[in-house]
Amino acid sequence: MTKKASSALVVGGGVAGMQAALDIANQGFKVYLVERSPSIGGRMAMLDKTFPTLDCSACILTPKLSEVSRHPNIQLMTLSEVGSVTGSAGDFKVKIRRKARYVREDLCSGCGDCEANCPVEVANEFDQGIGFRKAIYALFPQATPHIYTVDKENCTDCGRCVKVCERNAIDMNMKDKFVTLDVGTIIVATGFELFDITQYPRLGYGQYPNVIHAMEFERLINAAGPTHGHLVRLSDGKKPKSIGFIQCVGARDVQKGVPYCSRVCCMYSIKNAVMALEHDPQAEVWVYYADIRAFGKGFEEFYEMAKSRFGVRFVRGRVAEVMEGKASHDLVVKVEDTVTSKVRLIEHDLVVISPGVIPSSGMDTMAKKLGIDQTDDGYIEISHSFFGPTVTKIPGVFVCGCADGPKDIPDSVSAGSAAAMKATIILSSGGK
Amino acid sequence: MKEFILYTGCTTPVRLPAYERAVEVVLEKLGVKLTTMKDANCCGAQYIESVNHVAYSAMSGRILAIAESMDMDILAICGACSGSLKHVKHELDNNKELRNEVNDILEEEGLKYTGTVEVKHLLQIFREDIGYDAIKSAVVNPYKDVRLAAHYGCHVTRPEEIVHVDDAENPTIIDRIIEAVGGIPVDYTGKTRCCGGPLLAMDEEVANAIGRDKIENIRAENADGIVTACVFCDIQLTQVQFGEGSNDKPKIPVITLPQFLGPAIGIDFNSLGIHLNKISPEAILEAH
Repeated sequence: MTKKASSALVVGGGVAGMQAALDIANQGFKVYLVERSPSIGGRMAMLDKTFPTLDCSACILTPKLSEVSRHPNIQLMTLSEVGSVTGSAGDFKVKIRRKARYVREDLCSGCGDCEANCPVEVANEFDQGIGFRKAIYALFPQATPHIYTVDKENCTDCGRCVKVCERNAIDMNMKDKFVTLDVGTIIVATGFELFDITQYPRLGYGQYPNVIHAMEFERLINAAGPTHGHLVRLSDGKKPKSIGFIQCVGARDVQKGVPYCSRVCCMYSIKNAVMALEHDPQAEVWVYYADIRAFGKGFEEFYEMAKSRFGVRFVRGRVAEVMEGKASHDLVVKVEDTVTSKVRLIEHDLVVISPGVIPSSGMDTMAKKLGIDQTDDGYIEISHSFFGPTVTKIPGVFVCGCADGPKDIPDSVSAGSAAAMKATIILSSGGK
Repeated sequence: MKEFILYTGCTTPVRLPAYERAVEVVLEKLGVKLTTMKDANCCGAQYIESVNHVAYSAMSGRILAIAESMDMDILAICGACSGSLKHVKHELDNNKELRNEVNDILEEEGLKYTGTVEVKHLLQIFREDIGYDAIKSAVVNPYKDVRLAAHYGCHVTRPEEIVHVDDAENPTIIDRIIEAVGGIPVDYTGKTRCCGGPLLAMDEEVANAIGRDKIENIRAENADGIVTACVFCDIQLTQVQFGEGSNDKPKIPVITLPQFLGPAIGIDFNSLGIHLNKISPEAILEAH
């Protein structure tokens, strides 16, 4: 018998990767969970509510974050990236670059004294650049591990945080470290990114302050977000009385190289439309859609509820143009209502674009390192669309979450568990 | 000195001769030499294009072949002409069958298309061959406190991947030139929309409604004038301000780009044919 491979590597600490890590760890195997950013949680941590139940996203995610970080069989490696990969199923050697955090993980208690004393404010990427964070920061209140990180690019080396840290956890001379892991199997859970909607100048994103995208909307309605959950316009801080949601932007558009449906935009926008009315029941909320794809459990009922109980107005038509009043920054949406065949001009205070989903940046290099294939759309290619939804062409390398195509949270979690099962089959058989 | 062969098209010499003249004097002043193409024909845009594709390709192909025989790149100053020549060039370069058909037709005159010349729209000459810095340093009489709305024209910038003039959805060349000569470029709703001109033959009412909508969007931003880079757009945006259906608000002068640029670099009104403009732009051109 060959050397028993008893550990797994999961790349990506979003909800899919976390689920995979937990399911492997709970079977007694060691798991290394590698995450590029300073905290696990992924996209789900940024969301305000989830569809179709309107559960608070953080409320259902954060217990999982703790479970992962406290699990004796899981070793978290945040702020880390995968380098070279060699070997084969049962016996991979993976080089991991652990980027310097400038804060010692063994000493930091996450008290936040450093942050309070840091004089540098920079745009907060977790809040989609709307709010600010300091140059020493934790991504969000429940960031896991709860260890601060120094953003060296913006740090002025003033030394205040170093002085104020009672545990002497801050080490400004820290260097990147490289470690090599011996693992029997690898799961890729690298998630997704949003389509760059500035590629549609006619919709005004990036030019008009009151045209935002769905992830910015999530942060605006989130109590931990930059406005403490007050939904306001970015131009003047006023509460929007009329909001339009634009669907299928950077999805189902052959000309932009995204012919596929992103699967989640219909539902997250219906959810956001409902949330807009939860924030202000007097507001008018419109959704401009190509067609509504409410295929999941409870989705159609949720869509019906949005229409009948909440009064969200749905207009079937792809928006042609968003125009802006230069003085008021109010917006007008031009759309052909394809039910009535009439061109309509509808005024809004706020327009929220629903970007489609694309593979995360770095997917190409990741695929090359692992020797796995990608589809034309850039996602990881699975071996069989019916019987191998988490299986890649390289034995021992599996995929879950949005790395192989757009998925909602329940599907990402299912895929995470499925990939974990495939991985533990290899681990249980000693790497064969 | 850079040299181009000027293809004026049919409409400019007849309906907007001042535009042609202004192009010549302004480019000369900025160091670009022009030779007018002799024995040219219509580019075939829209009219022939909608009837027979080979005939259309042969018409634009002939212009390209004449330029080849003179070994000079083409300058087109009309949106439709520049669009057709670039389209046909693209097709002839990529469709061997069509190229053979066109060359069979051109052979009668001893002409041949081989694909050696480039087609440039006026805006490209300003950006690529002259450059904003050179325009800026040529200014002797900068404008002051004058607000100009740029209208680019659909066929000038679209489709971007074939014509390669400017970002079709967010064009900036005219605006940057307005800025370079001291004017204030004004953004307005529907800046990249059509002037309505091409629809005139089919539905005058719709065509004029589109044009007037554009005028009112420009008026809303208190622009003093409109700067164009296409003969059809210029004529259309002017004519919709007259006649039935136009309102009695003050008319907004429509000026071609070289006519606007000229006075700033020291060219007199007469050489630019300013007196031929239907809505006098003199108040704008005297704002120094």
